[in-house]
Amino acid sequence: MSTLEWVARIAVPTVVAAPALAGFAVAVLVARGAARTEESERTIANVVHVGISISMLASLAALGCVVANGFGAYDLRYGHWFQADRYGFELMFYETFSSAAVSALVSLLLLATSRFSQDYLHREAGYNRFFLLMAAFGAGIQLIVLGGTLELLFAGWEIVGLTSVLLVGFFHERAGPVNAAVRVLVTYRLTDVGLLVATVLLHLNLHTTAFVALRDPTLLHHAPHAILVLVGAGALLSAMGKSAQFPLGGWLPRAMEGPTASSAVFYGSLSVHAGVYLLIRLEPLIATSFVLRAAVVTIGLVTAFMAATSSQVSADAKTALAYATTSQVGLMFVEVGVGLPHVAVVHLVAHALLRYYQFLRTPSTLQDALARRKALGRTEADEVAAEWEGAGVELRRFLYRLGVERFAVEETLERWIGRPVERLARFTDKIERTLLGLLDRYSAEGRR
Amino acid sequence: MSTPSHAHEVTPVGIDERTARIDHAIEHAGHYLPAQGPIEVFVHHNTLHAFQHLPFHDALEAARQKIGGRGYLTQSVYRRHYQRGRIRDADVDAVLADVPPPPLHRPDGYPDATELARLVMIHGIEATTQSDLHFRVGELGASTTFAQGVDDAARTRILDSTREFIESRSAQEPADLRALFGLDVGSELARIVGRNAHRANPLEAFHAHPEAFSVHALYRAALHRCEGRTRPSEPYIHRIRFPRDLMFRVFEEDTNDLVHPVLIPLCGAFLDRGQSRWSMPDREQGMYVAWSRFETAGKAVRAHWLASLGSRLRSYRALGLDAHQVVLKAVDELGITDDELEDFIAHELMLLPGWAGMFHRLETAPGPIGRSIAKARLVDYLAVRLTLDVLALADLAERHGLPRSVGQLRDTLRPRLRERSQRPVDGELAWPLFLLCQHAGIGAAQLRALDEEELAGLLDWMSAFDQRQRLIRWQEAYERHYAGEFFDAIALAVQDRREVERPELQMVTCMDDRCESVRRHVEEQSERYQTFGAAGFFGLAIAFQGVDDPSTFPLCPVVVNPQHRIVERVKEEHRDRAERRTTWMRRWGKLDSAFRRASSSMIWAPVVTTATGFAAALPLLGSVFAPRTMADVRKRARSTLIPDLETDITTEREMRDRDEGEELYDGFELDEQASRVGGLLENIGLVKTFAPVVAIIGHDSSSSNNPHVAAYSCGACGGRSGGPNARLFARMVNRPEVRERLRTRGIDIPDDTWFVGGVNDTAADAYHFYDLDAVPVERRADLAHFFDVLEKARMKNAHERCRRFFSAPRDPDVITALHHVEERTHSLGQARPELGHATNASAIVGRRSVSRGVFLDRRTFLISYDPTIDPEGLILERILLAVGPVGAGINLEYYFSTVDNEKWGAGTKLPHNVTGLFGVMNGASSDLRTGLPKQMIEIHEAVRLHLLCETTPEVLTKIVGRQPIVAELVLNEWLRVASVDPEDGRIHVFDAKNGFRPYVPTPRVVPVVAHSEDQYRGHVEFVPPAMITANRPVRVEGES
Repeated sequence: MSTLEWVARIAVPTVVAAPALAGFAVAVLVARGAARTEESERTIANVVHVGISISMLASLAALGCVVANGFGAYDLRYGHWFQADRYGFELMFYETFSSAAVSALVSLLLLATSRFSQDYLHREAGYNRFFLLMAAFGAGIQLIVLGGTLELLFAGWEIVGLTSVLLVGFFHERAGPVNAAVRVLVTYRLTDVGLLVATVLLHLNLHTTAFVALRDPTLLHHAPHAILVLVGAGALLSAMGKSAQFPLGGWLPRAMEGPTASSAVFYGSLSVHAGVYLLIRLEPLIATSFVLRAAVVTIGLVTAFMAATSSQVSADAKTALAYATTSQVGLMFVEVGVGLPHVAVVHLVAHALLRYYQFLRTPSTLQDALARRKALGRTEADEVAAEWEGAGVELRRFLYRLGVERFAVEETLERWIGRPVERLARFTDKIERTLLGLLDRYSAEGRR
Repeated sequence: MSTPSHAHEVTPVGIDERTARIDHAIEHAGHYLPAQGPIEVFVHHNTLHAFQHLPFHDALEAARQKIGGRGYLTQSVYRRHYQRGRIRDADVDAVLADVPPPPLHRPDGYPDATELARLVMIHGIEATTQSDLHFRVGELGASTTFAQGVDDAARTRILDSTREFIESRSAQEPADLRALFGLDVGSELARIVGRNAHRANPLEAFHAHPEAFSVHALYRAALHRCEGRTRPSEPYIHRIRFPRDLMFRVFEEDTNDLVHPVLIPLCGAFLDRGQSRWSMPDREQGMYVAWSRFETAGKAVRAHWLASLGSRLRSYRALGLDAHQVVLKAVDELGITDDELEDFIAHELMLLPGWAGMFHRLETAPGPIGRSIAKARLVDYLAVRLTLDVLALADLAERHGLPRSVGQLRDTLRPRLRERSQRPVDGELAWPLFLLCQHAGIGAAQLRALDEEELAGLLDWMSAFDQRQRLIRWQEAYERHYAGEFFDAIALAVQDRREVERPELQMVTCMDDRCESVRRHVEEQSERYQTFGAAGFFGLAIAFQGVDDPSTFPLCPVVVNPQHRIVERVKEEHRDRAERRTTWMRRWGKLDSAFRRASSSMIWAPVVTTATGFAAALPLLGSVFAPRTMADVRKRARSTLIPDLETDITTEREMRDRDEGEELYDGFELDEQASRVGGLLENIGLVKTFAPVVAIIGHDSSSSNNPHVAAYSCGACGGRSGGPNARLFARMVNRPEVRERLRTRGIDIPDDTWFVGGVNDTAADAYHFYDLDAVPVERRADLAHFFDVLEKARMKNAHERCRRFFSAPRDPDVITALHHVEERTHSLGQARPELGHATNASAIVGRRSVSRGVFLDRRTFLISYDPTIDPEGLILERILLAVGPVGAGINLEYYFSTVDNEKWGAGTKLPHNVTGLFGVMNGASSDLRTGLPKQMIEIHEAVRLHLLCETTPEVLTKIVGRQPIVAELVLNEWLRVASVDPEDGRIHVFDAKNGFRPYVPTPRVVPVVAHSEDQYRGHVEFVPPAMITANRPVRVEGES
């Protein structure tokens, strides 16, 4: 084994483990009952800073290895984490240039977030909780990025989902954030089923979920086509949920209830791109089926259009930015769907950086607008009103309604799926009660 | 444009009258809505302005009933202050003497009402719930051990009296006695005393466990004495009378959960001042029309509850209904009767007070930034809101199997409301009685011996001395403690005061509490430095247009309408640079807008984001990890491209009359200039001795990533910079013609005195001065000296400020401190760039000699005023008319945002989301958050402003008699007024009940230290006023 590979073998697991350990240390500190004081704040932040900094150094080292290796991928195996009978689940990481780049991006943004939050969350009741969740999130997202098999990715996926939900509900003393968190949770839980099904199907049929194996055309060639489509569809469902794609994006504006810092790192940059990344990882599989590719492209395009329109009419900074973000994520779906995963990676990294910065700066919206007005010598802020008001008034009203109502996607889902399911549930509930009642009476009589 | 009024011909009789009723109801309810306008301008005002006609404590109660929300801190917070010594026994006693508790016919051997009240307050004796009572007794042993805080004397009295009682009753049947004390099988006491306690002799049991026995006996006695008494349930049901509340009570489902997610984004989009790219069509016709138009455009899929919205809106349109008529229609549909109309509309508006308030504000008083195209009217908001409410109610009704016609909803639902049962009395009556007896040292025997009438009296007294009564006294005690420290220090300072002779330099700043410390740090450097304070617009109400500003903006208190336009112009020799500058600014502006547009567009964003995304890493990392360096880089880049300019401002009125229809004059005429300048100089008492250099310094505040930035700036300048006012003032007073005219007024400014105008950034502790090229050569050295003094003072000021930031370095050197405060203004993640007016608590109107050398901890507004040139109090009257409302406005906004930050304030900043360029919401869909965010008030002490005027009580009384605005604040105690006599320095304190009373200094010793630093070093929290001896060559008594 070359020195380079040794470095990679050590660095890559460190990227994931360091934030996890930092999170664990925070959990221990908090569990030992330290109240939030100025000193404890500093300690907690420092622990997380150190964890994330180590993770970042490791991730840069790993990136260096890949580059020095002539942009070749590393397939790093560490034995099995679970084995029964003759079947095993491997503990492995798969480091390509794109995953190394995304991993470096992730640690950079995490480091910025933890520095930013040290001031921003100063004296906030949930300070420790925030840093704990941030560290856990860091470990989860690095596992998604670097994990070598679908089930490892799934583990990271779940950690990211859970931390997202808890950060949306960060201000749990108010009803709004909690309701929003429940909403996010439901979407995530429902769509995560897709990824789970995909994992199981791959194990059953290909006996592996390693991404490196999926790059092998012969393996895919021999697999039943229908299974591959099902696997792809499952993964796509999960990706749609996490990346707020049509028609599952209704949770996104609600997720803005958390602190600005977490909105930035989750919905501006990292979490929302996880779906794209999953598709990039599975791109060889998706490429085998025209149906899948068509589905990915269609969903991406529809989302891109709807979200862009919604963004135009949103009058609040975070919603407008969140929709602008999903719109681009939709286009990344398209890029993956048409077989340009590398373009998607470049787009992803650049986009995540930019949106992150824009999200952190949302509180400056008003000052920015005033400065712009000054620079342009305008007295009114409505800079584009004229342009938009050139369109016919009926068309404008119609488009405007579509935008404001987010194309009634939620309403449609509620009417044609939500309500019928609810009605069905009530109906079956009624049947169950009746039957139980009968059973009760019968057994009571029997005893007598 | 106006709404179509073609409906009027077909209007049946009565509609007009009902429309008027709606308008009346809206107008009435509007008073109670938050008055905050778009946050671009932030003007501090009394949050409970609508209640200002009532005495303070009555107003808080009225507001609680009308709007909800607490008017005081919670009792546990006051008690914590008591335990920490922030409120002392002496304060509580003094307040109870001044504001006596309800009268009580004192039973023999019981403490009097005052003592009982003291016990109730400091031990937090309160009714509790039945389950809490069970928990305390069952799990915490509350019925067998003395409560926390019962003092030794009380313990002894209870133990002794219980023993005597048993001994005296020893003749009685032991079984009866045992039952009396609760020694029955399985009781709490029996468990403690021993297995066979229920058979034991009570005296033995007592000796085995005197405490458990005595306390339990008392507990049993309390339960026994309260047995059979009931308290009427709260009459709450009559208040739940509108459909939404009924629905919520009966089914625990809220129509607002359906309505608000639709209504809130709509309001945001309608009122938007240019944040979204596509503006709402038809918004110049009002929200109802705009909404109805776009909602009926094209085919739509709607949520189930909104299924009939389209047809409803179409039919309204066919009928030609305007917003008023839509409101009427909904009101009728809901079965609201005419006499309920006013309450109903108030109720509806209070469901989202922030949004309704913004409509109201923009409709009635849009303020300096004016109206936008959107025609904001509260009746439109109501029309939309009620239309949605009706549909949501119908949907909920249907889901719960009720008829969809919402008119009968109330009749259907009301019988389902369960009346709350009579409240059990154990927790309500017996528990507080039990605690009170313990603290008062009253044993079971005494309690049982009380006759029925006396007991009823005691219980009645306890319910009369309720939470509100206690809170009033706590608040008064909390304030009294501060007032004591404040007045003691002033009393000491005025005992031996001396005016500064032949000052070397003079500095006039804003009266702002934040300027107190920098003035102190200047004065500590030499006894011959003198400072003054005045309202920061320096008597110049102007509409100012800076060199980059597209239009004018009023720089004066919001109640004043400026008549003079002051324009900043580029100097002739800088014309070329100015052109280059404008070109680059326009370019930057265009680029910035284009980027903003592109980054949210579907087509362009991929290109733009990919091209700029990687570059964004630089400013991102820079502003997070090295904010100061980043800001420096930015500034340099900017000044290379966009050069700084030398400018002039209009001073002189151009000799022409005001054109017809024009609102503003250009500049000031010579006579006006002289009268404004003279007015201010007389106000502050700067009329005799002038230093070679007099600095006039306005203030402003810089911060990044902060939607509330305007709240930190100069309140006397409408939430903007006071720099232009200071600059203009200096220019005027430096003119020989003006000085000539001032001489005829008795103000003789020597020719070798030069005024220089400047501005202070209170967040970064930075100063900038204007027109330095005009300074005469002879004054340059003096000016350089002044800058040295100021440089030292600003560093010390930064150092003093750092002590209050928990995240600042502890005990830094002055340079580190200065760098720290600078960094705070640039850091993206900094939620507290500065602390604003937090901790403000007092104001002094008088000569500086009243307060010179007193460390006031940045808590005091200092307004200069010389009573010796104002025997009639006319100048004082003028000052109070401005300072009273402004000071009270700032102070009371901080007060209310502190006592109930969720209700009156804006809550924590962290989830704030800038909306429509006019406000902030939590997340994507909440009520607009008004008031101050938590980060601004967390170190504030909620005390009213103590306004100390250097004058006599007689003069003050006359002024109050003449000026209703001042009278309202003073007589209703929204301000606490006191006077300090200009001759003998005696202090009189005013309250509404007793009028002016002489202040008796407390025996407390006022600390005496050499420098400010000695007083605050090492302290993060409040430090009391102290005497500073450095360069205050006055003998201070008590110095050792």
